Amino acid sequence: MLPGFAGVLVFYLLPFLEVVRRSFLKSGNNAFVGVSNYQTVFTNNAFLLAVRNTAFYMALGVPILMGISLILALLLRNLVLRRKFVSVMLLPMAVPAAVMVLVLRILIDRQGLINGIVTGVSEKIAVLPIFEGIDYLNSGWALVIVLCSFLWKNTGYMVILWLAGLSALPKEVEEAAKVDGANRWQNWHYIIRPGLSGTTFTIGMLSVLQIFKSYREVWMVAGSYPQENIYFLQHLLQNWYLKLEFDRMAALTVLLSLVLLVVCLCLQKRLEQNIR
Amino acid sequence: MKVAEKFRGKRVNIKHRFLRTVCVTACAMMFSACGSKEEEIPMGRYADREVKLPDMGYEYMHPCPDGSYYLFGNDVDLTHVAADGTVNRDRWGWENNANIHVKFSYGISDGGAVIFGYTPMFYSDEEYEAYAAEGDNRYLYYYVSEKGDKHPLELYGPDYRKATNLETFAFAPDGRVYAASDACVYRINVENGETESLFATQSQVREFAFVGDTMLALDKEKAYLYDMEGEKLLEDNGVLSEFTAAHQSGRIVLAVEDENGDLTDEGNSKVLYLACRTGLYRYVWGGSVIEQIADGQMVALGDSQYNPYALQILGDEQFRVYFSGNYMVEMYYDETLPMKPSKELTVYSLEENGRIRYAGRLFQKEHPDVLVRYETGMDGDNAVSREDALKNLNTRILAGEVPDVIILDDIDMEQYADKGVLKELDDFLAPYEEDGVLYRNIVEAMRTTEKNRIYGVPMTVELPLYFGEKKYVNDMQGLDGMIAGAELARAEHPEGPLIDTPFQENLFDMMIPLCLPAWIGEDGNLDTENLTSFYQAAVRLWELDSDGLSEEERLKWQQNLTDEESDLTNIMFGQYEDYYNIGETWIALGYLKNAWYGITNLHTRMVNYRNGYSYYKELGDEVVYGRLTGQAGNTYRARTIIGLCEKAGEPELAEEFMELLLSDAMMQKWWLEGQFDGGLPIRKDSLASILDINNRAFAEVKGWTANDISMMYKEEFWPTEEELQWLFDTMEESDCCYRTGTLLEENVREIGFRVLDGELTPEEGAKEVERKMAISMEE
Repeated sequence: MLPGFAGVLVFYLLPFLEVVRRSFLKSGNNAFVGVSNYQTVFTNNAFLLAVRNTAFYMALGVPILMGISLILALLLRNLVLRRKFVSVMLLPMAVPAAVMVLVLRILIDRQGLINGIVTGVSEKIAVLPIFEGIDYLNSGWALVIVLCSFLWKNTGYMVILWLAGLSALPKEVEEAAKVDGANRWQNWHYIIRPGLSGTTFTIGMLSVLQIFKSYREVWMVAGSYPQENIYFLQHLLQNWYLKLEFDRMAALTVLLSLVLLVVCLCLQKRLEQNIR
Repeated sequence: MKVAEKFRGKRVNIKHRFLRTVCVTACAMMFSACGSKEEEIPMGRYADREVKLPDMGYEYMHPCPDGSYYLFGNDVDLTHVAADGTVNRDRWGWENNANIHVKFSYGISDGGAVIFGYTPMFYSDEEYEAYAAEGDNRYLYYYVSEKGDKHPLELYGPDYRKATNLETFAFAPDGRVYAASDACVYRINVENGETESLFATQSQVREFAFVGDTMLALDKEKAYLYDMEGEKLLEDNGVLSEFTAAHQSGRIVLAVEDENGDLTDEGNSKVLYLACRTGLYRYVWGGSVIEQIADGQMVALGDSQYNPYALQILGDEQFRVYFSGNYMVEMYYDETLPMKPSKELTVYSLEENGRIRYAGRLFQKEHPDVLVRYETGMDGDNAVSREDALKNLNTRILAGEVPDVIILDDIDMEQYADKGVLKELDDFLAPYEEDGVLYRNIVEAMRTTEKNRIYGVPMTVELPLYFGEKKYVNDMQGLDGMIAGAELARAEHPEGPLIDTPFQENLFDMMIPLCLPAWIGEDGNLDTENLTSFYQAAVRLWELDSDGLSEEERLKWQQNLTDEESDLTNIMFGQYEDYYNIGETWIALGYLKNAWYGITNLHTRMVNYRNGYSYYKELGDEVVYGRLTGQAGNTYRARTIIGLCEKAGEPELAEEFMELLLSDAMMQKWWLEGQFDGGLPIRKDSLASILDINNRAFAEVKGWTANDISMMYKEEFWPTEEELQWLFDTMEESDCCYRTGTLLEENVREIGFRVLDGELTPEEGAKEVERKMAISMEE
């Protein structure tokens, strides 16, 4: 216990306390500025844009990922070839980010495969208007592209987690319910769903973390200043770092940590309620 | 009870003992600390002095055991320099080497026999085709005996493929000749050209050393020992192989203290010296350690501009090291120097900067107690991007490890100044202003917009210039004038390129510095109107240039240039110019990058007028040049912008270093060292001195190969008083600074390519830049 705590103290808590301290200082001369950095962050339009986009992306991405993966897990649950399917679905996890970005570029570039196919089809079918190609990453499609790549990469992993959760459910209860005449919906609603609440919490947290991690691919494919819809908090943090805005960064990091802490606590509470 | 008392007594004893121990330790520490103040600084370390070489064109050096050495190069005769410095160039009499181009492939014996690989020059397509038929980029070989008898050497044999060039040759003390390709070591018979493979290697062997019957060969990863008498590979020496593998980013050169006797004979210990970028090392054969005797950072070995090519032991703890770039130093042990410099001056730049490296060496020589640590963010050895390098720099700043001097090329100076990283230089520059030695207008243009202070001063500047026939360039002012001139030239010359812009980025390289300062309005916002006009002009110029070129022609042009940049040595002499230039360029728009070549004959790639090498004076009065302007007035391009850090560890040394960089001696020395392509000095006296005809230091005739493969020569002219005055006046008028490294430029370029490709209209392009910049400005 003690070595573990010492590690957490040295590598997490103390650095975080330093970040908290810096959030009240001005970078450069280290003068105490009170909550001025926090005020600057809250009135910063780039911050508001990034928060909006990140929240929207998260609100969209996490439920979709959890929903799709759960449906797939339920479908695969009783399948004989389940393991083979799962292995195939895990492949995107093994694809390096650089390769994934390359593939994305081949697909969605203005002169890319998708535009090429759509243009080809539109040229052949006289009824359709001529398709001139879309610059996906510099249009409203950017978020859809990012979301799709996020789902493609993470669904397989989440399916495995759901399957693990499902396999931990006692079969006897479901069988007994069946004998008592419970239909599929009742089986799901009264037995499976409550039984998966612990797994749901874990997968929810992991999905949130994966959303944050997907920034790497977004940055690699669209750079530090991407289309407005896919400008996330990590872009802001990275750009502030390059601009030596360490004080604002510290304030933002503290705020983000607080938000994540609150989210975690809420989910935890919800979980406990469910268990009770 | 008694027992309890006894234990209590023990506890008291332990307490006393503990207290006593603490006191004794504290006293010992105090005394040791006092003692350390009086402790003498350990003295003695290796230093170096430059050796003046008899000529400029040498590329190779061979050290001889008697302290003499041979020098050899492409255009110079074999030269022997005796131990007393006597130069002898007559022993070889190589008067007819105009037809060959010596490649990086040679070997010289202690007696002066030479074997080298070369590529020939061709005077007809047939000659070239006959050569290329047997393998392109194939070396031919030549052997010259000690007596001066010379003959071509056709190397053949069952193991030797002609397609594999022999890159390294070595003469063993007994006269046998060895050579290495990228995968094998051979023995060569210089009389009949017969080759015999001895052993395979993992990569190209670059260095041979001989002791008695043993040969030591180093490739990039391993050290090989070969018994020349028994004709077998000996057991691997793990220490040497490990050292070789650990230093594979640069070259290692070897010297053996005594070449007689047997290297592997126990009890007869031989000393091997190894020199590489990290320093000079000593290895006693059979030992388990390679000992460093000179730190590369404190001698010329650490200079990443040069690679060591040869090492010579002079005795009395002295060594001679010959480097790439025909540079040689003698290293000697100086007992008067502190073993470790007591102070350290850190200089940082994003990319390698030759003149900073040079100044660092100079500064270190003047201050033996100071170690100048020159750090580059984007080291050639690692593939760090600009963004990552800046992040690393910022991390250091965040941790309080700021460099003392920072070179602000490609770094957003305003940003670092605003954040208090840079030191204000107004006070530092006051004496310069009083003396009037610097071009004040150039320095003043460096003021930041936010704080209106100076945080960086360029060492040199480049001036935008146009060049062409009077009728085309007469009204070449602003973007409209540029287009009007180009349209007129295109109307008269519908074929071929118009301006020297093979790639789209060349067009932006030329245009952005002329316009960028005009894109941010007084309110700090982006001026989209100006940006749209810029894109419109860029599109028009690109169209005009492309009108005379087919896509294939442009691709070929680009390919030639890429080949040149990637591997110049692979382009055959005689073929080179023909492939390099795609046709005639009628207007040259670019930058005056150096004083000598620039002003004397406008001989730069920028002035790619009629085959790229024409001298305007020969073309008569119809050809003129002048300052090129865009949207931002009299701009200049700043080079080597020097800044000091506010929290420098050694602020006084940093200022001294900056004084050195801005000194007349440094600025002139740089040019006199032959490093011309670095911009015009911002010191008035330095610029005047460089252009003083009495300082003229180059040939009056320049030769090159023309498109028909014939050799052509042109006379080089010195500028007239009138021309010199024009240059000085133009410098005085330059009052708008273009600095690299801004996000705005990055975005304008990135979106500009899409505009030139027709993906976006100029208006859409400007809007796109505005959108991208909006987020950045909001940040």
